[in-house]
Amino acid sequence: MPDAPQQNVNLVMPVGLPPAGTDAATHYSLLRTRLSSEVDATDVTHVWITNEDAYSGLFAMCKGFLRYFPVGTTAPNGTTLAAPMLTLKTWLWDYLALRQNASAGVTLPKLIGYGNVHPDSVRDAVRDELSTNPRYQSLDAAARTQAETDFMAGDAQMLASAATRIGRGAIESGGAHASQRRLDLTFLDRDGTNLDPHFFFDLWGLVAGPQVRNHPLMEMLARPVTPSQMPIEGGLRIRVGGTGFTTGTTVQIGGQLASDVAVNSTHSAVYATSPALPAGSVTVVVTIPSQPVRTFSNAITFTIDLLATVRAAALSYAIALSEIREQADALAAAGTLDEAARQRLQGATDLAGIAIQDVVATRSAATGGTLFDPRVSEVWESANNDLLALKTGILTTIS
Amino acid sequence: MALTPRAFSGAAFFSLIRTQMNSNRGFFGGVDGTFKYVCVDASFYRLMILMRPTGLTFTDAAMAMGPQVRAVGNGQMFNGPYCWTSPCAVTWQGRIISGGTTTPGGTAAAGFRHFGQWTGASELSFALTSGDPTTITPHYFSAIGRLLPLVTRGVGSPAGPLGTFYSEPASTGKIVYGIARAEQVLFMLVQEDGGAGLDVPALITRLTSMHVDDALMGDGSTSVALVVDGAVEVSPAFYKNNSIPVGPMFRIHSLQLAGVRSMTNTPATTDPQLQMGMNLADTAATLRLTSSGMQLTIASLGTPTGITLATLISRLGVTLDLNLTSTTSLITSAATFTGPNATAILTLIPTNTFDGHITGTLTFTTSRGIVQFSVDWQVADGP
Repeated sequence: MPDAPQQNVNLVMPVGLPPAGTDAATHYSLLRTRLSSEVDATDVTHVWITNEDAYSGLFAMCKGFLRYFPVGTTAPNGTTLAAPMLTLKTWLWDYLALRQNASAGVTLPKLIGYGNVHPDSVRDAVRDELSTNPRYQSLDAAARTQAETDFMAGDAQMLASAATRIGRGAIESGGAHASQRRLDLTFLDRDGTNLDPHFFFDLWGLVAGPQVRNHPLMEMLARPVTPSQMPIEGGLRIRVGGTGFTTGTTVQIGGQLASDVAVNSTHSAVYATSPALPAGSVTVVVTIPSQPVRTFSNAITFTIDLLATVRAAALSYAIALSEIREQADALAAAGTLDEAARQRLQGATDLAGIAIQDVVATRSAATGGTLFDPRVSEVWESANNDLLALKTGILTTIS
Repeated sequence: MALTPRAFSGAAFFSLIRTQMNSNRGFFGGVDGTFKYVCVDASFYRLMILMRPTGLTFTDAAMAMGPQVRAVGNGQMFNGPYCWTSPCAVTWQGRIISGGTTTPGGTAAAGFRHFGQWTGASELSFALTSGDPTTITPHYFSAIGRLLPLVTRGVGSPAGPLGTFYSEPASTGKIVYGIARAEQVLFMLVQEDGGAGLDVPALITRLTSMHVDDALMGDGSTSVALVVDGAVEVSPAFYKNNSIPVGPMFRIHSLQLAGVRSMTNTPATTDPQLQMGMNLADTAATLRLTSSGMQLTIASLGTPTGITLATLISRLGVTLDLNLTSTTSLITSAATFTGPNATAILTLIPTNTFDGHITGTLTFTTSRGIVQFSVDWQVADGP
């Protein structure tokens, strides 16, 4: 079977996507000067952006809006697709430039978020967007009404989980962000409890393709060292992002050398397995030959908490899968993904999942906690689509 | 034997499958797309543990188990490194109990599930539950630990205890060990790796819709393996076949009368020559599965009181061995056996740690009437 193309998955960011036909790097360079963010004490992510049509649209999606167009089918603009396309509902398809080269069968991740506004406000925002944004000028009144109805039809699902909303944030009347539009992103569990947004940004950083990975909001909120928590037994794979990592890089966590250190082929990440350490925050030190030492203070907190361990485990599983995916992609690109390599990558994928399970089970046994706790399930369910996409990507490449 | 195409689905699957189990010694081997599976009777099959000899592949070891072993599947997760080029020693995860003894090698995996069987018979003797199997009392005869829950008491498992396996793609290989208790059926289901299949949530939904009581998942991906009647039906990847250290297997056995056995003449007897107080101790018989149901072979009526054995046999007009057959393979609810001038209605009353008693009636028809005995036979594992 021929090598599969690289299987990156782009997630939609809630703000500032490059318009169709616009170079993403240029757009993000300009966006970077227009955007700021902050996570408050209640885990609400505030995003401010200058009030300009090209940058301030608030983008959102939920599973119900996704449409997959296989090769050979007709795209919403009437063209016959030469490559698979994933898009939102028709009325949004040319506005939200979603990934256009997802392979058949790849499950694209969901974006879990929630515009922190009342549904009526969302309806008003959608209506406002449709009527004022020049991109929708071609829509007649009926199409505009239909679009609004379509969008709001997913409201119940969006409120439950796995959703984001579209609109434009309110304009701040004063303060440091006066005249800017603000979006509040809240990541909810199914009970409506606010979750740590960093977990999701970290996950996006791992599963997203280059377009989203370089998005300014991702740069601001995805942490360079992930996961940020670790069971006291260690054993989870961590990732340190950056540039210029080379062979010979070492990683110290809390003063102890991490094991199985590996640098990816683009030298943009180093992977390592954490040692066991007592509970508490520790600093991560990355030493690269002939470069200044990179220190990440209090980057990882060792914990005895089962739920924190599960969250770390889910993220670490994504890290391990990302590492394997990068290896597979690099071998495929080099034309050296032979049968032996495929088998080793398959084996590594299997062992990664088993190792994660063991870490969680050990902590569960130590705490007397139960993995049947709905909060534990919530973590895995939240990460499911992303993990599934990562694993499917690997299997597609090595099969 | 070739597997028979049959959908592994439907609320009545496990009750309907008994008909086909009856025609193959309480066993059915089926195929449903990428799913290959076996169903076995819970009273006549024992859970055993195959421990792969270091120098053999897993499937070679399974094929060498002999005809009594009808099905072998791969077991729980195991430690790397894998045996890339040829079979080698690999340590399994969790604990293994074989023949009542904990086998050295694995480590306790308290946070997982296990599949175990005590020394009894029927569904009562099987446990698919939580914890390390070596911590369970009474001790198991066979058990395999470090498994993941899919269904517990008819309820599908949430994502939490499945962890990373919850996100396995639909195409990933999976192995499931389960039980439908009311139907006295154990099953082993293998989804081949790489084909169309079910993701884990969909698999759980499928199992619960079939009224599976308990189901556990072992190692998946390219580790999945299934050997049925000595033929490899699902092959693991080459290096996995070199590496898989253990797996559960279902071994057929018979039930043999042993221990306290009695047959007591009942008031229903109408033959005037045999209307007397009469007890028979130590009857010798074997109950085994056939290709059409069950066969009860009575080799000796034992030691009678109130009459000599020769007189009894003469008056009954029977020739030993006496073979009575039944068209069902289910012994835990009244099964009817018929043979030359004789009818028996028998039920196995088992416990989890004891094969149990066969109780019921054995009725002979003579030229003068009938002779009915009330039966209470203690049974044990036969060949």
